[in-house]
Amino acid sequence: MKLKKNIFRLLALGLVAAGATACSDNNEPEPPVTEPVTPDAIVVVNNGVQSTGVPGTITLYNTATAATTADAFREVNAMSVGDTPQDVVVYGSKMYVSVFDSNCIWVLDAATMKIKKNIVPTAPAAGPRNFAVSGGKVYVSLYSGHVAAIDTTTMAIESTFEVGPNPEKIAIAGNKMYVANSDGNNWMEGNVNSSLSIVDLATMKQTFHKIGANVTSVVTNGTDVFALCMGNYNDIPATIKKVAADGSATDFCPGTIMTIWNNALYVINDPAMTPGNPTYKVYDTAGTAHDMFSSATEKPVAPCGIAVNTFDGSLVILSRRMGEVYPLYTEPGVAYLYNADLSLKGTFEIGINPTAAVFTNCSPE
Amino acid sequence: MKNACRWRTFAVTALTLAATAPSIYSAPPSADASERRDTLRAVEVSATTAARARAANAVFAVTAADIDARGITGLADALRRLPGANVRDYGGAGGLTTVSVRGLGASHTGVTVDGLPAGNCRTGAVDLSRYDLDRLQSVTLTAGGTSDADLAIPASELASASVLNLKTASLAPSAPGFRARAAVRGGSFGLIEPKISAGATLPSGMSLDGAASFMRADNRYPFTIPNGAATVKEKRLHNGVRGGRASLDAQLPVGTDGTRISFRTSYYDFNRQLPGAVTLYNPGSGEDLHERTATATAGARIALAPQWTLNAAAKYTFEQSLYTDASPYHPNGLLDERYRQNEVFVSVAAAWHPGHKWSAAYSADYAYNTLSSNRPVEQHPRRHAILQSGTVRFRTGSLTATARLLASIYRHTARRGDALADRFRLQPSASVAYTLPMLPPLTLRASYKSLYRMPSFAETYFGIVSAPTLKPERGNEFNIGVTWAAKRPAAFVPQVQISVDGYINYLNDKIIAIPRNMFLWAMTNLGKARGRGVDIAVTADFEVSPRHCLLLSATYSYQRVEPRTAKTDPDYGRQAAYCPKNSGSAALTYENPWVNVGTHLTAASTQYATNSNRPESRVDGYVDVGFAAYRTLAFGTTRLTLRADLINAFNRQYCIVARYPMPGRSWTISAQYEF
Repeated sequence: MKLKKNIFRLLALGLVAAGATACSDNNEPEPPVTEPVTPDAIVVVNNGVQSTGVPGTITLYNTATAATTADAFREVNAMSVGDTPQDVVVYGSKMYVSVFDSNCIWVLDAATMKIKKNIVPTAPAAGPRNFAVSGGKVYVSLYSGHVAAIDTTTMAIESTFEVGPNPEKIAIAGNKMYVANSDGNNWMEGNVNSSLSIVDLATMKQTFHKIGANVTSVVTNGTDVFALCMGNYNDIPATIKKVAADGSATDFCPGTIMTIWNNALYVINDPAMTPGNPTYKVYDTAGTAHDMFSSATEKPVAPCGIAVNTFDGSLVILSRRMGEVYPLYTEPGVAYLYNADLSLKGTFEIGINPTAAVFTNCSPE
Repeated sequence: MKNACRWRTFAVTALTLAATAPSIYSAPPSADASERRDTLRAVEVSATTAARARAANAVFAVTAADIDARGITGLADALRRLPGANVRDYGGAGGLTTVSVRGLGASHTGVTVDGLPAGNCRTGAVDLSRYDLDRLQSVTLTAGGTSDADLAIPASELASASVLNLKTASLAPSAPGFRARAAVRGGSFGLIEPKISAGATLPSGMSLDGAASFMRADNRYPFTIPNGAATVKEKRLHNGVRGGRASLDAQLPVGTDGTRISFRTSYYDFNRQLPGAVTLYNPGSGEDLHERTATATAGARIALAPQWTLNAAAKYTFEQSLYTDASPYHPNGLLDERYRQNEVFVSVAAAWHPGHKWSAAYSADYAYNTLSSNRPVEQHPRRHAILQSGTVRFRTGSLTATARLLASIYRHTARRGDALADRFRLQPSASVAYTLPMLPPLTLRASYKSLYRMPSFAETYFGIVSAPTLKPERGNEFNIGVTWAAKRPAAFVPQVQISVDGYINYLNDKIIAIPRNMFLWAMTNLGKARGRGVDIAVTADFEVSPRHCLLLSATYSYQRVEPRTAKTDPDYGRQAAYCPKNSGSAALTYENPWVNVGTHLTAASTQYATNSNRPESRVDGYVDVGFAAYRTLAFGTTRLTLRADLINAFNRQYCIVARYPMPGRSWTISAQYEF
């Protein structure tokens, strides 16, 4: 049992959420880890389709046995995770799942996925989206234009503060939190209030930076910060920008999905107007690029999420299935698992509209 | 109530007459059902049989008399009794209601009111909840073609794959006089619906009819929803409706040759709270919809000569739709969208009957539609439509053959951005019916119709990217059917009627939404679909004794509607969303000298909310059973009708639209006083 406990403590340091959620654990208060352990599972969050009554699911994939549990949350807890789960993060011994339409955050036992608590934001704050962790707290963006800080001990929202409209992904480097304020619900006005905001977590002073159209993602390795401006899904293309310390940004590369690990920025570019032909590249933080995969490697055709195993650099890419012309939003997706050398290790079926994943240790009974 | 069974036979008569003559620009005053029960008994069965024998299309109807006799509780319920019709009912009194026929989608269902089209260029589908069933004489569905009974109809009626005709009733008596009615209905979940109406016929022959009604319901009904292994009990919130309708009609004879002109104005004003799809763990909603519609219509039926029929009509409609969503996700916490639509419609139709067998007709319609809103990306689209149709009909005592050609010209403009492309299209259609010379008569029929549907303004201009290159949906539909109508096949059976129709339809360039992300969509022509099915309708009366009668009616539909866009698509060949393979209804009423009682059911098999047919999107089948009891007391010329309904008597929890639970067991009582 002690070994098992230590495994989860390891997660507090190294295994973090995927998709484009990055974190820095400099102030992590959990006890030190005595030995590293390879994650044995991948947890995938699938949106479902709320408008057609299809709730979200949590897929659990065992990396050792290649066994898949299609809806592990339901298997363990005999209830649905809710409508439109959005993100997952493991921090300490707990797993956190944000559920957008159901407007709640599940706190789970990371090892068993059993429910420990359900957190509901206090109105007008609502709509949990994406996580970042730091200093014993789990931060979650709320689509109402807020970020909430969850105390991991009490499992309660400790504070909520305003950011820009419709924030999506958030990232923390040192004492700075970066928030991608998409203004997504204001698309008819061209997302004019979209920005990247930088919050000094020590003073809670916030600055807003207009870096491009429809900022939906931000990642950091603790030093470098990259933000993704999604454009307008039409004639303004999605662009990844490198963010300077003063909040100014310069074009870095085209891309619609990204994540970062050490000095490697993994970038997928799958423009909405021309689906089915994504490109995959890895950039170093200086801007040198090379193809993520060799031409012979099987690549996802409708990618919608990516996560890195921070233990060994292996990779999982979440994808919808592709129809004749467009991605299928009502069919289960496929996860592509790659080794550290980016050779394909295998694929496994995931849920409908996958969105985020994390490498972790999770073995429900 | 001296002869209960005769009441029923009138119902069948009205059904048939309505079914075969749904279009009349200027209807003479039509007495309501209760009066007709007294005055039209003599023509009952002969009219039924003769009209049925000529039907060349699949025609199904619900009449005013059926409301009591079949225990119908509202227009949505009436529509569910029509075979082949898939009703989108979101639950609760006064809720939004649209109808898709034979799996083609609600935008392929044309709705006419007294023969004039009631379009909606914005959404393409007409919300039928705005019509009050109590003010309708009949609801008639003509599937897979156009009725060939009346040739002088607007060309627009030929434009849709199926036509749902609502024929309004008038309280004006057929002879000079005055009648008035006051009614109130109340029921579960805060339902209160008072109504008043009056009609008068002047010695000059002019008739007037006016009606006003108000409705409110909170619709806060309990429901259960599965959640994992458990079933959770909740209550529907933010689901109330409140609003009213008013109308004023005038019918005026001109001269003595049968020429009549008519005027009609109506106003509809409803506020709805929109609860949205049930969301797990989060019951809140801040969506509201306020709709106002004002319509003014003028029509004339002109008797030029014995062999000519000339109809003319003009209509103006103004619609305002105010949608708000109070949500912290929107800028300033509120999405406030205000739409305004205007429609000007003019139609002229002439029919020529040179002999007993041949007839010909020509119709020309012009419609001008505008849409404006406060959306920042509003393009202010306009549509001019000129539709012309030519019809030739050959009819003998046993054979009716009709051929039609519809020529449609659509011109589009937009104040901003690119407008939808202009279009021209020829749509042929044909039908034939042959009645075998045998007793009882057996009528065989076959019909073909070319399908063509212009994209709605919403499909064209409301996506994250406007789609001016969107093409119309087009296709073909074929129908074959048979009707067997027997008068007194046995001593205790006044009538039996059975109709069976089979159809197949093909749709190309189906307009579908392609996600740009999980929340934003763009429209394109990508889909193909094929629908096949069978519609069956049965009515039979059983005269237990002269004052005791059992009335049976039943419908059944089988639908197999398949997406067939590409064989590589996973949904290829699966069942299309919201098309249950099996559905039907049944009603049995015992009419007697004391209190008439009846039971009825509507049922559907499992359907799916998406074409994927995944288990997660399954919408379980259901059987909804209800009971009704009613009695009419007559005191001279005054009548008091009392009715009580038990709806969903076995408290079956079901949805017609995924995550929109229907109410469980509920009741209504109504009283209607007429003098």
